[in-house]
Amino acid sequence: MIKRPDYPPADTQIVMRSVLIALIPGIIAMTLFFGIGVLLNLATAIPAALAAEAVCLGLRRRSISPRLNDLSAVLTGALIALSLPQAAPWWLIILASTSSIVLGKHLYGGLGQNPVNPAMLGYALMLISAPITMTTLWVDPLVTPDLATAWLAYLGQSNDAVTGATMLDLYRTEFRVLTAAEASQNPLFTQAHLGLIYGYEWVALAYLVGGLWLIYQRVITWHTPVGLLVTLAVVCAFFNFDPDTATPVWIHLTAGAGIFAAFFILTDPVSGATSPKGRLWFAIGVGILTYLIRTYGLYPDAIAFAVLLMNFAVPMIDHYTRPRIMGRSSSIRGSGGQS
Amino acid sequence: MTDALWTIGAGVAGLSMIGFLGGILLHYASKVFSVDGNPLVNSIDALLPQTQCGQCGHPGCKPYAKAIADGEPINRCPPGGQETVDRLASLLGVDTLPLDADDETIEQDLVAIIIEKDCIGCTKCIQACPVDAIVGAAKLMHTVIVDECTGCDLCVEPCPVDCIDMIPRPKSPDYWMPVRPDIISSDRFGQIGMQHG
Amino acid sequence: MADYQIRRCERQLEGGIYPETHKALSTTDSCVFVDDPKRLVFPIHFSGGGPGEALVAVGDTVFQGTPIIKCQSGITHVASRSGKVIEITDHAITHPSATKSASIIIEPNGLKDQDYLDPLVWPFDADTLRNRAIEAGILGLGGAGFPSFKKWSDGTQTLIINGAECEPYLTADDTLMRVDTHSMIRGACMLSQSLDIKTIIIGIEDNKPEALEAIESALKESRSDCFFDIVLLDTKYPSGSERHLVWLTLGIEVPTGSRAIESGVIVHNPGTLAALSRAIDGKPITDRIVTLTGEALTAPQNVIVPIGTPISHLIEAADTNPDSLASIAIGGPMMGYPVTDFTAGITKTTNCLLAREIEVPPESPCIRCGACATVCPVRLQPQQMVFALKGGSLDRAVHEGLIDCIECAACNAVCPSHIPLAEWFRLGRFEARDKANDQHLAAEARERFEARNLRLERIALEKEAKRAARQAKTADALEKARKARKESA
Repeated sequence: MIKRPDYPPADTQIVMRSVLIALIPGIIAMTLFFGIGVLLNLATAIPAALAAEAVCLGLRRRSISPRLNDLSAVLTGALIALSLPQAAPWWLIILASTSSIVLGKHLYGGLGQNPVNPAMLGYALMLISAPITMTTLWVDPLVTPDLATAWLAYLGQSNDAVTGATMLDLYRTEFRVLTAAEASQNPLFTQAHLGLIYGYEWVALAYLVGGLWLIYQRVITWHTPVGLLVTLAVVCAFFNFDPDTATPVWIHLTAGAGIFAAFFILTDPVSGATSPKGRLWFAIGVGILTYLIRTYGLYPDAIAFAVLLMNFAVPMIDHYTRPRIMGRSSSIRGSGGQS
Repeated sequence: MTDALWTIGAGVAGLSMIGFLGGILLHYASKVFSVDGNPLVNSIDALLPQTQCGQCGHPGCKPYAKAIADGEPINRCPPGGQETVDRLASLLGVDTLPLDADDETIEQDLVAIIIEKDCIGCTKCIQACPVDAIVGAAKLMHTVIVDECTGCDLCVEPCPVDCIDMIPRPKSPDYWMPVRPDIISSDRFGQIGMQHG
Repeated sequence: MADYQIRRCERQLEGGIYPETHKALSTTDSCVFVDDPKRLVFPIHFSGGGPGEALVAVGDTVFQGTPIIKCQSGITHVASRSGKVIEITDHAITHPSATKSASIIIEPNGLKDQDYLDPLVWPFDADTLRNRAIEAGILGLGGAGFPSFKKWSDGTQTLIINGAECEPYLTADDTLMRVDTHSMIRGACMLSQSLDIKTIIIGIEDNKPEALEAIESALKESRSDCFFDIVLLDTKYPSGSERHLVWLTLGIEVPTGSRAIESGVIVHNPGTLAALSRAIDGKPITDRIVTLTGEALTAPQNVIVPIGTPISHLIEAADTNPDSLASIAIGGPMMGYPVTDFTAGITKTTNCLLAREIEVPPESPCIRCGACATVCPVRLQPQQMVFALKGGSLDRAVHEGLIDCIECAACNAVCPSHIPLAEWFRLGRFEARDKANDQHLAAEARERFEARNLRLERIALEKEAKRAARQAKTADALEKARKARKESA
């Protein structure tokens, strides 16, 4: 039994490394259900992120090796790779990864200065620029593509037989015209993998394991994941009075990026709120926005936009969630005049 | 018909009532929350350094604050430095201006000192001092209360025997200021090893 | 025997850290005097108690206990050994400013000549005790060096003896509580009785069982009728911070910007009380216990050292060559500061010399992880404050609570980016203090300016009135004269 550490890791590199390690179960699960495309994504996005980081640092005349060694670019690359469709072509991955680093991070001054989550910025950018590619190239977990199919998809020749929209997208568009009973006849629900229906849940479970390990290691606190998942569940349950038209709570939590985002995306410390209470509010905000965008928005992938929107609310959250300082009768509010 | 009249009457009465109550409320609010003097002038004055030196062309900081409130440029205060100009700009919601001063008059924290052996006790400096920081009596030696001197320079010129000098403000012998950490970060102390990493 | 109880502290320090204590390194059963050094250094302005003036001149002969420096606060510093004043000059000092400052250099002559005060005889009142503390140069020996007599207000309810010693590596207080227990207890009782304090609390971390045992047996022998409430604290840094000790033992949060004494609590280091006990017998502070520790020392130990002893002499006393060390930390790894000039003499507040080689990884940008905020014992948001300070916005940092920072450096210890947060906060606090002072002076200048304007206005009005009266009088007189002329005509 390893003793739980008393503090978060004492070095930025270890923080980043722990998060990368925590991603491994999720990566394995995704590879099993969505095929080798997941690894192709990673193998493309991470070098691209590192290259972009090195170029930016060089252009900004900063020393390159300490910043490359801190693994922050590797993590950004990994997160964007896991967020993209598994049958995405190589150019999309490179574009997403480099724009995350360049536009999401270095334009604002590099590590620690970005106001928004770099990975989600890259993701949202791709979603707006290449909406068809981003919404139709998700691998159907029931027909895991073989190596050749994945490679062809990587080169840009996707195969409609193995790709399609995501579960959530399906629910928004196609299942809405069916009753809940009819929808549940879909093979996605009837074919179970080892007792759990559809691969999405296995992936979610794998990310949950990694996320819990991060909490145990004190790399992240419970506030963010609990805030997001509970809010999402509560809001869904609240509006879920008609099962024939609404997306079930369970699908909301596991089918999309819910768990992955709760533990790995929202927990980006730089662009998130900084106090535990602030993190809770931040996650609650993301939860509500996610539900609203998923239900009423144009895009099915709500989390990226919800995170970006809440990132801009962070300074305000930080100003109103400071704990009460010892010896003061109330907590400080506001920004304190001019900066 | 009578119904309509009633309705109109009730409406008029109701609105009058609201107006009346609102009037009472406003009256009390103006009493309870009243501020002495012009609040804007006071907030401007609070940002000025209170040297009362008159370099802005006004006899003291408060008069300059009044002038700023009436639209005079905000960059006429050399003792306040650029920082004061920026703060005034922020307070008034206008664009900041470069400080209107010669370079050598900026950010020199000076105080007046009377060379006591030369003082003839004419009291001219006492009359010139805007903040009553010089003590003395006619035909007797004068001296500057250093802690109260704002360094405004106004006593130097009236002195007939030129016995007032401006010197850097003396600091307590145990005054010190830590070094900026980004200068010494390579050899700092205070880091203790943790069990991990 | 004195009445006492031992209880475990029911409160938990919020934040704080569990550093490796390294206390065993320097812990010894005994505590010996070091040999007298060849010269003693007494900084005139940095000995504690504020800027001072020398009471002796070059060539004067001084005895052990002869006053040599008088500070602005009244505190008198005495020569720690008999000898001759050989020089008064700028000299390296044991102080975070790392500057040179005017110092009195004394060459000890090895004689036992003493120049002590008369013993005080009980009963004496609080004023007598305050005067004695001033004459004997009693100030906080825990590190801050605050003049003790300033804490002794009438109407104080509680005296807390701060035996927490939470700083890693330090064992000076632990040693003192073991070897000088009776003096400490006696000092505490004398102070309490003269100020009419009913309860004495001893706050002690639970990693000092030997000291606790010594205190218990001393209390059993004591004839005092004070009640001693011994509170066992968790070994967690910084439980020995004054504010935190008050909260842990009494549950009182000392309000921002005020001292513990304003909440009716006096907090003293054990050494201060032991020194007070000796001062009552007539002996001013001439020596103190110093921890010599760190992995770079051959023989870490606690020693009794004359005030003014050069650091190099103490490094030698620990069987180590001073030339082998580049720098030494004064006061421990958390709140200590480096000194590189080993000719500087120790002062009353020097509790520890820490010699070790540490490699601080290079600083990297803040990632706002909030680790510093979770360990901050006053619940500040250090990441926000350092962001403001680095960006040059002092006002913003002050708004975030900069003045509440106790500079404990717990944030430094957990920062994954290795940012020297506490050093930034110290600088910021100094700047904020200067700025507040400037604003205070400006406010006073405004008041005087306005008062002067009113006075000038009043004088002008009076002059005007007098002139008008004079004119009226003249006119009156003229009128009368005219009338008189008319009548006569």
